[in-house]
Amino acid sequence: MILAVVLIAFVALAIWIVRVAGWQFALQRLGGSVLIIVLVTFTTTWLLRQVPGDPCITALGTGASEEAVAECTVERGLDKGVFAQYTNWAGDVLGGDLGFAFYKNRETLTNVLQQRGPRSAWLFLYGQVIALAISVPLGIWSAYQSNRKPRKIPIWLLPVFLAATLALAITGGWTLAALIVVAVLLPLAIFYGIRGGPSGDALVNTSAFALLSIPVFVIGETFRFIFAIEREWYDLVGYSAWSEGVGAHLASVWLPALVLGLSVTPVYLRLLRSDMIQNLQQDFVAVAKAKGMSNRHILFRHVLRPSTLTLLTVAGLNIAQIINGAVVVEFIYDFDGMGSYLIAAVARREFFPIQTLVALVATLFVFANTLIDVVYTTVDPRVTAGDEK
Amino acid sequence: MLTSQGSSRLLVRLLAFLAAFSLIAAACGSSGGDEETGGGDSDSAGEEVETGGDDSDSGDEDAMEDEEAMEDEEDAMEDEDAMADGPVMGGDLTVLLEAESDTWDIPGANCAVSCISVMDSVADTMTRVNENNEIEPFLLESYETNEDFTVHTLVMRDGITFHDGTPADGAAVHRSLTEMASGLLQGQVFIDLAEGTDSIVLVDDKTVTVTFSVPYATFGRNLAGRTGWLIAPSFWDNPERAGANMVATGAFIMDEWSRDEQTVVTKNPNYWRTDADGTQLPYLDSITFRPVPDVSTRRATMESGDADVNMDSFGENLDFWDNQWEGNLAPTSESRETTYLLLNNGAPPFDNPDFRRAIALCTDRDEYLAFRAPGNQLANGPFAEGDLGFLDDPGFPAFDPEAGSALLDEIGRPEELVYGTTNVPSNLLTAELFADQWSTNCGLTVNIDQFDQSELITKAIGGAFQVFLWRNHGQGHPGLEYVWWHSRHAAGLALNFGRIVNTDLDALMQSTWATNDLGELDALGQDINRLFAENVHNIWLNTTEWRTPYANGVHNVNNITLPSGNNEIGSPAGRLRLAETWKG
Repeated sequence: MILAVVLIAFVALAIWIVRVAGWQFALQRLGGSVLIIVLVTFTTTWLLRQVPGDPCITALGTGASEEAVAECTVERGLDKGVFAQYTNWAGDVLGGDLGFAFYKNRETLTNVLQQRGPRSAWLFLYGQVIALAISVPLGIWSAYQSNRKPRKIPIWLLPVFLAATLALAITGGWTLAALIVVAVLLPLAIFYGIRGGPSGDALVNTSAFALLSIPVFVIGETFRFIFAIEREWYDLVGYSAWSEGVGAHLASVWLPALVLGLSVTPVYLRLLRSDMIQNLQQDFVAVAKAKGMSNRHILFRHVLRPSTLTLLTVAGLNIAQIINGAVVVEFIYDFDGMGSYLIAAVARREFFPIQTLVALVATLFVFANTLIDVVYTTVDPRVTAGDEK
Repeated sequence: MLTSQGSSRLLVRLLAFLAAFSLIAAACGSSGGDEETGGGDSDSAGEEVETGGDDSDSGDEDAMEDEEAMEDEEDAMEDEDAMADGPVMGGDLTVLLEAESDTWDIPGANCAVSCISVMDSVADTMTRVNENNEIEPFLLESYETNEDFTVHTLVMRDGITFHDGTPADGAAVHRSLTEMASGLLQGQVFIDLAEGTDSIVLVDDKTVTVTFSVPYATFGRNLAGRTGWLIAPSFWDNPERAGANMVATGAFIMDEWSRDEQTVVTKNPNYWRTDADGTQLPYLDSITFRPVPDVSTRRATMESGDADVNMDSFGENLDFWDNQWEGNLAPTSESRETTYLLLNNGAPPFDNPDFRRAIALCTDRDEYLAFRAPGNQLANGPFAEGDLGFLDDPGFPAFDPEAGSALLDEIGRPEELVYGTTNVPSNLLTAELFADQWSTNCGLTVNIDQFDQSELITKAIGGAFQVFLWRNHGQGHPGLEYVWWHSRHAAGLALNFGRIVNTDLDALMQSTWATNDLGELDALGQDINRLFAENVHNIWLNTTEWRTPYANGVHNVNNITLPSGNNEIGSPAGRLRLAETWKG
């Protein structure tokens, strides 16, 4: 089923590429893709064999007899050379046999993909939607505000403010100091937000930097504490599939998706803002202004589209998360996606499933980046792909 | 454009950072336990409340403490009322496990704490150990041995059926034991069968005899553990059994096993046991076991009230459970695993008893306990306090760096000592502590070799190591430690990881199989304890403590009443017994 979906998607992409970019580009990309996948998977196969530890002893455990280990080694073909193991594995995978995910209980990798794949994919999708929903409007607003007239705040206020906070903390306790700091800073932030201008841009930028500097596990653990333990807005009950109801599904996924989304939001925001600032300084913007076009029209029709190329590239590179999973988020929210499986597979020395997953990641990468290359031509007509234009 | 606003931006950035920090601090600081779950605060802020660490907020904290104390008291009263009202039928329990199980195919499975907890809900053992540390028949009607403990007679109880409706009779016992004896791991228990599996004989439709070539008194205890789970023939016959659901006779039926997600067991309506009032067991409708490997996630899930029972041996959490969940911790057996430095007695430099003694003298175990295992007890031997064979002071060398150094001067120092450890940060810290002790106290050159967990096992069974940090034992009976210490398991891929070859120890281990007398076993255990101390086969560090916290409204965790009316001895090492648990 999964292979069929991948195949259909691949054929559809190929047809579209041929239509948009021509045969030569499509063949170049196909050849390049196959080469990349072969190189990546073979390198992975070779590297895995250099890792110390016997997969059969790991699978069979401490009480395994030498005979049982030898039998397992022969059965799995681990007694053969690396090249022979690679060709056997490649033959099996191309024939649709993904093999066992875990030798010990003969769990099939197909089952693992069916069980865990969708949850990683949904988590990725929701995370991306949240990140884009926050970063695109804020990035546009921030870039626009950066060009407006500034209003300065006296620098001497900073040490005074810090000293006052410290004094308050020592005399009144840290909780009170934190509350008063928030009481002062929140209105200030709101003021900057409403007022706009470079200070508004600086506020967004600083917030983005602050968010970027907080590791995802800190955000995850903090949100878990606030929303799951303190307020019970989120139940730590793991993932609920769509089949369990839309409400249950969304309730199970909103917080990890938010954490994942917030972790990439500052990256997207900074990329879009910087591209937009660059494009706002282009001659065509001055010409558009001279023609009397509204700011909104210039921003959305003429500046936004060419400014999204870098954003699209980075979003495309993130697609590996579907397989790799957002490991930290999965651990914190007990989300059992592909990430935690991949880690377990590496720990168990399950060579063949790791190779298959690496092949899937490589395929997805190539697929997504080819797609994005072609999408460039739609987003920015000045960009051409292949030989057609 | 950017340079003209430098100072303003710097100010705004710093203020925004302060704001973000303050928001987080304020959010974390707003403590308050979730009393519904019997829990408290999860972070250091909450713990400060307990220790009174911040004087400036002491008024608020006192008020909170009073409030919490009142609520705790109310909870305790509610619990007492509930207990007085008696068990409530129905309800679903969510249990957090520290790991997923590889398989339910027990003969070859590394079935650890989590696996045992699930298995105990769906399968019954043939015998059990009562609170007096004696073997009693459980699923069996009777269990007897001949005088020299070579012939064991098992008589199955009438009228019991497996979850699939087939009879759990003598033939099923015979099949189960034969499968166990043929298994990769359980086969170790049957290694001394007189004539292989032919020694397991179905005498009549209820009776099975098992004959060993040597006295084997501990077999009855094996039947109270993994070896004794009676499993249905349909499970054994299943060609896909390595990945199949368990079919047995237990209080619950395994309905769903979504690997790494949940195992759901539902009430067995035909369960053979009733409580003292004659009420059909189990009380619960279902149990959902959720493997959650991350300890902090398990703790957070308990605090948020999204689970009912947890298992935890993480040292840094022990204080939290003891302080914040007091009154909501399930009883456990006094048998506890021991953490120790596993020395390879079969290869230099640890094949030299003097060198082992010198290293023990150079090791400051109190420092280790203070920094790396707070909340745990110092161990001087393999048996925990309360267990057979325990001695407060078996003569294990105390920390004496001068004596250690002098001994090393006499016998010479090896060029280097290699301490092997897994690539887990906390284990590396422990390794660094010992490396520093041996280097500073006794002038040894110590290299730390880091590798993956799976390699640790490979190296241990292959004997490719000098010294590892290890955790094992604590089975409540010295005879059950046979495979770890007897010299016949010290060659090749060996379970006697330390390659201990000691004829005195072999003789003592053999003797533990030849008696059921608890006094005699205690004396034998003490001799083993002294022998370990004298020869320093391992460097004992601490006993491993487990906590089994449960939510308010959950009752009778880890309490099993045996058919004789006695209680079971208690659940060792975090294992859960939930057949008589109820919610209400």
